[in-house]
Amino acid sequence: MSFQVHSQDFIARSRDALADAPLQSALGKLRMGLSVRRREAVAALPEFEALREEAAALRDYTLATLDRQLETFEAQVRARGGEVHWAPDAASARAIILELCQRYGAKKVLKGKSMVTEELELNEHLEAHGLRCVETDLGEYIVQLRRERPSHIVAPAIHLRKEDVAESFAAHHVGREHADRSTAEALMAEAREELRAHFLSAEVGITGANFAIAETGSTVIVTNEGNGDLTQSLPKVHIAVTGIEKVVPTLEDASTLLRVLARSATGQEASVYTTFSTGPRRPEDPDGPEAYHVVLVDNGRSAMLGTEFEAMLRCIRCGACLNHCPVYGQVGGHAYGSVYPGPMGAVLTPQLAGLDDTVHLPTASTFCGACEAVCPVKIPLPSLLRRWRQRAYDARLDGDRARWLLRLWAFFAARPRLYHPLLSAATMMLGWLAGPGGSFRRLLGGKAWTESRNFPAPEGGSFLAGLQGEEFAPTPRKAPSR
Amino acid sequence: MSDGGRAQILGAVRRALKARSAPSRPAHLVPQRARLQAPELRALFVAQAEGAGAKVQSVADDAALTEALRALAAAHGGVPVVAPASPLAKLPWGASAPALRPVASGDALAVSTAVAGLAETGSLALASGPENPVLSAFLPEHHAVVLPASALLGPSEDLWAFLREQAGVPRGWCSHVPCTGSPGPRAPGILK
Repeated sequence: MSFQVHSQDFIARSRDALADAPLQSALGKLRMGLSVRRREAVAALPEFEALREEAAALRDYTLATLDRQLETFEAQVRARGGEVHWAPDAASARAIILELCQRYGAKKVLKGKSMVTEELELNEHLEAHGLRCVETDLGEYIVQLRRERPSHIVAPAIHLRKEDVAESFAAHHVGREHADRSTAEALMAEAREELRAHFLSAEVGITGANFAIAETGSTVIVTNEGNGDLTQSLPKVHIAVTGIEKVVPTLEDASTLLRVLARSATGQEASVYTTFSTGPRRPEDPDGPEAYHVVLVDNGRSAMLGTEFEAMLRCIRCGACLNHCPVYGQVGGHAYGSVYPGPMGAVLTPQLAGLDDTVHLPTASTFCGACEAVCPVKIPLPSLLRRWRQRAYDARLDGDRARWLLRLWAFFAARPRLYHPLLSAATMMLGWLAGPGGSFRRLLGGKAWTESRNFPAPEGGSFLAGLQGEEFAPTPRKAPSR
Repeated sequence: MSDGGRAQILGAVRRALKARSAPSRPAHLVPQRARLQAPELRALFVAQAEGAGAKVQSVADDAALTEALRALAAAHGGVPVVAPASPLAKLPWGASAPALRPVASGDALAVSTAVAGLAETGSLALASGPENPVLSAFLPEHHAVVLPASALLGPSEDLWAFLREQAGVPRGWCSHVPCTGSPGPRAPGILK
């Protein structure tokens, strides 16, 4: 297993992100866009909750029979003229893919959007061996030009504004000094023209796979741009790279997952292109790749089976948990220092990279539960994050200050007769001190919070008091100073 | 490397799953929305496809179809490009024949035939083969798809049944919600 992360400085990166005005402007689109569209799409399908139930049960069934599903998938790919390669870790996956590229004499490699190849740091490996990699997904292409990492698993360039993209195109597109880059449509047209030249000159196309269907040996990609289709159709070799957990038993199972995937990811009823690849070009086919390879990547996934984190293997990489996470929505994806950011990344990254270097990620959650509420395969993300926090505490990785504060809180929380009066007094005091504004711009011990936003004062009675039937009594406020 | 990798991965999976009984498969649910009969099915398909940005045009017969395709290509400054093996090549095109050749980058309009239309999402299902080169859907500036009215289905499950029972699994097939895209075609249209 190898998985490179830069998560140790999550706190410093988060602080920088909160002070980054252009980033905050770009993240505003996320907060107001994708989550609203998801809500509308879900409301339009009465069976959505039942489909979530089915999708979660289906993923559990598939994981419980994973060995059989993988063997069936392999047999079907071979029966249709393709090859399957098994990569236990990132190094072996990189070596397999490089050998395939060299076998076919590749100089240029097209890439469709693929998080697993990001996980493998494949581009860097191929380029170190003299190949040129061209990302064809528009967002991936933009971040590649900027030598950045994707900041979102579905929308890689969500952290950028239109102006940032125009600046990158101006710096990299030769011979387009007078191009109109004032609108998103103009930028898309420019990228389309630039990418077309690459599509016609690459020897190998590498895509990910949203699903691998055991019944037919097909890999499935969903895109909204058609880039993945050209990537896997125009070059003479198609290599599909996917995690072992992406296998599904049948075509009907793929239908179920596709129904919840598109709605959860982008709020669409269906993605624009849902493309199934089944083997190489047949004798009668006028186009399509001459060779078809599937690389099945483990890289830590089998180690999650049978553990308390197995439910994370249900994940279909829709990004809904990112789109609804208040932490991700404030700091963006790069702060996490992992190709998998947000709640799903905060669970997955410690598993893939170890907890020592990723201990901050499970703490990057308010436990509001939005991630679990929108997850199309019902992964209990807050529970999984809590288990990582427990492990960090048990391994003494969480720092002396955090442990001391936890012990202090535990002392009071374990003594209700002391805890409740103190809590009521603190609530009254904070409410009174906050005055008519109802919030604090500065707070002793709360600098990390108030640096970027006001701290809301308690409104009144506690949750427990309400639960016990007490009437809500607003906290008295201090009179405004004149 | 692959053989060793295969044994290593399957071994790890089996060790993790050892002594575990598989849960039963969940019942498969198909949304009611797609369980319609004509003409409601047709109305749903048109509404979904147009909602996604496609232009849907109904034609009565082959002559009207060729005329509509010719007019669509002319509006974009070209002639329709049709695969030589496509049944569309045998239509009564009259004096202004289409270009019977593989599609090339920059062509104004290529024409494909859908194996099915899925009313649930307004999607077109295109199966690859001599009659329908994959690239016809992606390389031209504009893409027109002919959908026979008899090929209108409800959900994708109906398509899977059709492929299993009648057509066989094609090498590649694409369920395509018509929409403008980059680098895909700019403005697909559907004729039926």
